[in-house]
Parts: sequence; C-alpha cells; structure tokens
Amino acid sequence: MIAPLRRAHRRILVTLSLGLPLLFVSSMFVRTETPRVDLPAELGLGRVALPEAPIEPDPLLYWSAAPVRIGQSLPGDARLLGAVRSGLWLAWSPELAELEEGTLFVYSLLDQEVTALIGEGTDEGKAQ
Amino acid sequence: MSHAYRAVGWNRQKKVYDRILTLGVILFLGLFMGVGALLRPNATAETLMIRGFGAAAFLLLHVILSIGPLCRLDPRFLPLLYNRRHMGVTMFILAALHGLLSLIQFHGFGDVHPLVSLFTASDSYGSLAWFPFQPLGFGALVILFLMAATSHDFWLANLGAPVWKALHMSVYFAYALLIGHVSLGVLQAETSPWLALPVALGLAWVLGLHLVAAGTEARLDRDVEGVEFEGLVDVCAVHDIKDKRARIVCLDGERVAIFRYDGKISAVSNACQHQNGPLGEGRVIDGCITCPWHGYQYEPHNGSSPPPFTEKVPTFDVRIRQGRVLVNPDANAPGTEVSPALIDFADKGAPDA
Ligand code: HEM
Ligand code: FES
Repeated sequence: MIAPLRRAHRRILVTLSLGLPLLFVSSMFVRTETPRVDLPAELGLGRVALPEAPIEPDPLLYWSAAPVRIGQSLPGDARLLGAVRSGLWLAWSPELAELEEGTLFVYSLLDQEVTALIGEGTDEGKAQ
Repeated sequence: MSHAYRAVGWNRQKKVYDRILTLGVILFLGLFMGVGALLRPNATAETLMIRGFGAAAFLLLHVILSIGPLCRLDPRFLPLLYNRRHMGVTMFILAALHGLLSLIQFHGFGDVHPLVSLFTASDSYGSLAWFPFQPLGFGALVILFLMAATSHDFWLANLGAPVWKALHMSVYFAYALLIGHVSLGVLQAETSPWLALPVALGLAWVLGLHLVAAGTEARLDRDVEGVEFEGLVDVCAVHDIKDKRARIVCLDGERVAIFRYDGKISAVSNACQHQNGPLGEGRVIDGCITCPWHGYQYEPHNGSSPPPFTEKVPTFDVRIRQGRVLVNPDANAPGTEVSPALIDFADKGAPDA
C-alpha cells in the first residue's frame, strides 16, 4: 500500500534537513567575496576586479567609447556586455570583442545610473 | 472517462477561501511593490514586478508546504488542506510571471534565444558565489508547472494515486532548487541581513515543522505488539474505539483503520484512494467511512465507494474475542467484502459512545 511512499518521503526529508541548511549557510559565507566581473575569454579582457563602489542590484555591464562618470545616466553609445552580479551573463554580440578603447562601467537598472567604473580605458575609469 | 474521478465540490467555503487567497496575494504584491518603490524611487516597474511576483510565489510555497505537517499536528488546520490545490495553482501563476518577466528583462534583448541565454549565460558551475542560479529557478518552474497541470482530480484518477503522489512529492525537489535559486541569486547581490533572515527563518520553519510531524508519525508506525491468535493480531479492546470512529494501528508496516459503527467492527486500509488521506481520522457518516481530507466515502464492510463511484481500498478480516478486536494483518484485495464482527453486549465494556 503506501508504506514505500512514506519511506521515500522520510528519506527526502532527512536529505533536505541536512542539505538545505548546509547550502544556505555556505552561500552566506561565500558572499563576502569582493565582487568581480568574469569577462568571457572571447572579449580578451580576462577578469577585472570591481572597484570598491557598492554594487547595486540589477547591475549591468556596459561599454562606452566616451568618458563616463559615476552617477550619470546611460551614455547614448553604451553597448550592453552582460550582467555583473549573480553569475549571470547576458547574450553577446560578437563584434563587442573588437571594442578596445573606451570605458567599461556598471550601470544599475534599478537606479538608472552608472554605479561603478572598471579600470580599463579612460582616465576617469582609472581614477575612480 | 468514467465515474473514476469525481470533482471535489465547489461549495461556499471553498469560494470564501479563494477570495481570501486572492485578496492576500493582491495585498502582498501591493505592499511589496509599494514599499519597494518608496525605498528605491528609481526602480523600474519591471524590477519591482519581478521581485514582487518571485517573493509572493516563494512565500506562498512556504505556506503550502506547511499545511501537510500542520494538519498532522492539529486537525483544525484541515480546512486549509481542502484548499491547497488552488494555492498551488496560484503559486505557479505567480512564479511563472516572475520567470517570464526575468527571461524578458535579463535574456530577451540579446541575439540568442532567451532560453539558450538562460542556460549559457554563465557556466561558473564550479563556484558557489557565481553559481548560475537562474537555471535552478527554471528547473523549479518546470516542476511547479507539471504539478499545477496535473492538479485536477482527472489526472489523479488517470495516473493513479501512487504515480500522482510521487509526482507531487517532487515539490520538495522544487523547494530545494528554489532555496538554491534565492541564496545563490538575490542573496549574493543583496547582502542586507533583513533579506537573508526571513529566508533562513522560512527554511527553519518548513524543515522544523516536517521533522516534528515526522516524529509523531513515527510513533504511529510502530507495529502493534498484540498477541497472535489463529493468525489474527489482538490490536485493542472493543471499548477502545469510539462509536462511528476508528483506531489506527500498524500491522506489518501498513496502517489499518478499525472502525466501530452500528454495533459492528470493520477494518480497512488507512490510506484513502484519493490522495492517501488518513481514513482512520475520519468518521462514519450515513453508514460510510468519510475521509477527513476531501470527503471521499467508502462502505466499511467492503472498502468500496457507494455507486456510481468506483474507488476501492483494501479490507482486513476482523473478529471479536472476549471483548478484544483481532485483525488479520494480510490485506484483502481492494473492495473485498468482509463480514463485520458483531459486538455483543458482553464485549462492549464501559459505555464510551
Ligand atoms: C524561468 C525561471 C526563473 C528565472 C529566469 C528566474 C530569475 C530570477 C532572477 C533574475 C532573480 C533576481 C532578481 C533580482 O535580483 O532583481 C530572481 C530572484 C528570485 N526568484 Fe526567480 N527565476 C525563475 C523562477 C523562479 C521560481 C519558480 C520562483 C519561486 C516560486 C522564484 C523565486 C524567486 C525569488 C523569491 C527571488 C528573490 C526575490 C525576488 O527577486 O523576487 N524564481 N529570479
Ligand atoms: S484524500 Fe482526498 S478524500 Fe481522502
């Protein structure tokens, strides 16, 4: 009758009672790592450490040929490269691999402003 | 199709619960998005909606997962159980809106298909902090979809209770995926303890409640240690069973519900054919054993639902000897007719009805 189902239920419960707290606690420990951007190898830029600036939610990684300041809105020529946080990358447009001169910056979709500059390219980028 | 499935009726009480559920969801979304907009005046509507729908679905899932163990611990929660299915479907709709909006917002503007982007955008599977948390949410959404799509009793009847139950037990897998989705996703980006704390408390609540309920259940699952007599096991005294009620005992690892009604004793499997509800916690109403969960009925002497319904549960041979109830631990095939044991005056013992 239903004894096997009940046994399966018990086994699931034991596994989750051990596994989920472990998963949650370890995820809390790793999140103190400095935020960094893993730029895909196709871009030829490698890994870039993010500046100290607080990382706002929904941050997206953009490139612009023009100098960019923290707090400004999205420059007209900005090209979307990917999302910065939470291990997520957006789709790529292959020609972005050829972009070299310019500013890489983090733009918060939530606050609609530039929140961090990444030290490649312009002086402003390096200064921040 | 046959009479093999029957709709659980749309009664007034169900409609009241549905209204409370709808109102609760609207209130939560309004409050969440309102406070969100106040705290972050520049937040886009899409962001607020993605977060609101996600949080509402996640919270509702906690409520749904609490109902089962709460009902095991206190029958006063049973009305929630009747309405759990609508909660499940509502939760799926909220989760689907969250997933769909996320797919559009985070994957809809690239040059690959959003679903391809969802799975290929990150491959940091080796890193916990950078673990691709969105495929976890997608996996959970697929499970929730399958459950919502098969939630109707039509599917229950066609898949059979064991398959259906097993499918619906995968909600625990979905829950595990979602704990990963949230703690490796939004909790990596938003480091405020005011977000991590509710998630931790929710997890502790769900697991704690299940463990406590499992503890009380485990006591029920110990085989009765009655004396054997001609292959029958002495399970209790006649007067241990209240009139129109049952006593649940465990025989060879399976639970048996022993009912006393109209001066007779009959025994059937404790598991209702519908969703394995505990028949022995139900009552005999109009001569039929009535399941406490959704009201399916069975005749005590043959374990069959009265016509036109066709559900059947296994029956057990019973006898009364010197005021004691004896049960054969070998179940008869579902629907097998068994003559009830008749209680005579001497067996009755103390007045207890
Ligand atoms: C295709 C499936 C899914 C995708 C693509 C997805 C995507 C996302 C994304 C991108 C975030 C972060 C949002 C932010 O930081 O603003 C998020 C957060 C979250 N997701 Fe999902 N998700 C999916 C399925 C689900 C499901 C099925 C549930 C729950 C029932 C869920 C519950 C949550 C919760 C509670 C959060 C954190 C709070 C929030 O932002 O609402 N997700 N999800
Ligand atoms: S489990 Fe639904 S009526 Fe018994």
